Amino acid sequence: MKLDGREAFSRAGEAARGRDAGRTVVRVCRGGGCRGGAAVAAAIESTAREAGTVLAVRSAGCHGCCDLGPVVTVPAAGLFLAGVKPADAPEIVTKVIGAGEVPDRLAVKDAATKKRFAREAEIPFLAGQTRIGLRNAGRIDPADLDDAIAAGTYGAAAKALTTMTPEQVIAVIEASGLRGRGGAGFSTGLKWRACREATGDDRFAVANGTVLLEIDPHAVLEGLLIAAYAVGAHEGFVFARADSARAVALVKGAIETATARGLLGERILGTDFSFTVRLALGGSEFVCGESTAVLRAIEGLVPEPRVKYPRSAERGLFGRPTVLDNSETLALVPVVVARGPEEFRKVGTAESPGTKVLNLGGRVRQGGLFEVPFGTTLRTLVFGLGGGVAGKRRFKAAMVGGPSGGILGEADLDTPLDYGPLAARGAIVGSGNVMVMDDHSCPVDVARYFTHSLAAESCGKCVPCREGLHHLAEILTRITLGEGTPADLPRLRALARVVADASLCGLGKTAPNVVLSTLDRFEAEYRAHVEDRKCPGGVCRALTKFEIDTDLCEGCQACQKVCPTGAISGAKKQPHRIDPEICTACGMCRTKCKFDAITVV
Amino acid sequence: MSEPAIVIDAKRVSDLLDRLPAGEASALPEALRAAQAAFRHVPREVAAAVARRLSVPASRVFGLATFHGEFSLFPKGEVVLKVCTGAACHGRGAPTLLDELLSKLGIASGGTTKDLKFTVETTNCVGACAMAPVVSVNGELRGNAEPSAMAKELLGGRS
Repeated sequence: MKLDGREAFSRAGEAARGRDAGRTVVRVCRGGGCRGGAAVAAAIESTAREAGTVLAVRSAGCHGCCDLGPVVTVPAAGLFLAGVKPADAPEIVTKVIGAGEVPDRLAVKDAATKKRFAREAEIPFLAGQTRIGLRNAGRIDPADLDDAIAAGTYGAAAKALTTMTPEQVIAVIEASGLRGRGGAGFSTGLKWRACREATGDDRFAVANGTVLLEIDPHAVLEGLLIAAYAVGAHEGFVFARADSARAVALVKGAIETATARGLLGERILGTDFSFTVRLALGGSEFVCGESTAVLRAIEGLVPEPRVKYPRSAERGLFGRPTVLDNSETLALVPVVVARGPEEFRKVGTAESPGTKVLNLGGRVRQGGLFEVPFGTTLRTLVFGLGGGVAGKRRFKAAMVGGPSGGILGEADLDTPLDYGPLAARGAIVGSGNVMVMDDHSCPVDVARYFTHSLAAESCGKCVPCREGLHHLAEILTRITLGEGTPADLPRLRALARVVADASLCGLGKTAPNVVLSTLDRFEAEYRAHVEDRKCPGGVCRALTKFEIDTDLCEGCQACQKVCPTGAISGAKKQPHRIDPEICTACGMCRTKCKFDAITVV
Repeated sequence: MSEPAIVIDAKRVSDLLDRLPAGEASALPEALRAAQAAFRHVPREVAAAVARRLSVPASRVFGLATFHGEFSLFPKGEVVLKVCTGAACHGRGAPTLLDELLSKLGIASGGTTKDLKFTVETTNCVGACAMAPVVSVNGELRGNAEPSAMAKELLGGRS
């Protein structure tokens, strides 16, 4: 049934919130990384039926910590259970739900202290976050509009459409200082104003970016609706990766159900405002995230970026004024509208109010999605929330901003994660990916690896990116193979600058970050490669020789078992030895050695 | 044994074309996706027919078909394995997994076995880093296993 006004909408909210009255709700994560969630949900349901316990077993979207999945929560009791198996169902029904007791194995082990926590509010890596964009992550079923409405979604849109003028909405967004989360960090309010003021009969509002679409599609649609209202667009698109089957299905369903309930489509919530949203699918290529390329892809063209003049806000999709916002930005818009700009500015920095969703990965104890205020330091992220470097290794570097981000070192750990401070250190906020590397990594090899994949991702439109990245990758490959010369270092630097300065789009301009930032911080390691023919990190096989430190070796034979070439000899409890003639420097032994006895010579 | 071929049945081609809005250039990606789904590639004759239906030059059809990794001008295997080469997977054995798959099947990356059973490709980060190394098997994600065991399982009894 269509909701024809604000009153009908608030009644729908009450109905949705009241539908589980008298029943305990249990949520089972069915996110992309939580394989086995379906079996867990079925087991809990059937166990409860047999026991006569009245439960409402509902699905949840991704919590952003897939390594702990499948996750089961009991929201009323604030409980959060990790790694649940179907066999745990009886205990969950009787002990957890019945008596509020959580068996140790289902509680979350804190990566740093090894203590176990079952209350969501006490789990350090969750409690330490400020989840605004991710406010519904794991708390709602992304495929269920009623769940979204119960959580308050579309409330801000209802407020905007019925009580605010488009000008007022834009003023609120401007006052909040909200910046686009897609990478460039441009002011959302300015962009909306430019689009509203541009000449043209009709406009478009477009959303892109996959993560939030899988977690909370209705929050993104609500943000898009508010954007459309503000700029005066009556048609819009959600642009998603065609190969992201989950996001595609969720967005499709979300658009259909929201339209059926009168939250999108003709005369939304009984007002005069109409906004029709369609789903547009794009490729998985890196360039498909570049803003002008997104619009070209929707037009059915090859997604090559274009020069940014005129701005898309003036002449975008099909030549009409268009606002394109990242789904994370759009998920924040309703919060700004509902709570007001002052409230939004209480978190984050003066230049970048609010929070950023970061995807922490690599050699860290607790990875996943972390939403933190802008200005949070890299140290807090990696060592606080992430629990530090995995295993017994030491922090060496972190790539901040995704493949075209920069590599920061130990000296940069206190850098606030924000546009300005990161740019000053040669990194970017970018996609929000932060990948941690330990002391067994090689910055030169990392630069080679990412430059190589960025070269493959170059759309090929402009020469500096298309040819420059290939040359950079070639030089880096040569260095990692032990064929580099000292003259390669200034050559790398010069070429990287050309690519950064002369490329057409933001992707080309940022692609050499990895080369420049590693040269700046790890020049000594580059020199070791080209002058001493050594790879201090022990990664580049042509330049690595491993030896066993006989003082540290306990003779456990773990390394012998994994050595693919049989190069390690030595009896049990006797120091082992690597035969340099047979060893291929693959490094498998080093990953297995518990005593750090395998050293690079 | 003769080499298998994918039949380009005229009825399926006309069904595919009928569903496209005539003269609507922006439907091109959708058309290519439909062709790829129906024939496991974009056959040349279908590309030409799509160009006519949408009133776009054939060069635009081939331009898009060769730009995106999801389209192919040659038939892909029944099972398309996409090995994620994102940073997390790279660090957890994706290169080994890829090598094993390719050497067991005797093909190069991006290639398809002669019997059209398997295609092996690489893909960018699929966002499931927690289960690295990840392989998409006809769109379904698998992961969280030791690379050579995974290669064996993915290829079934085939060696």
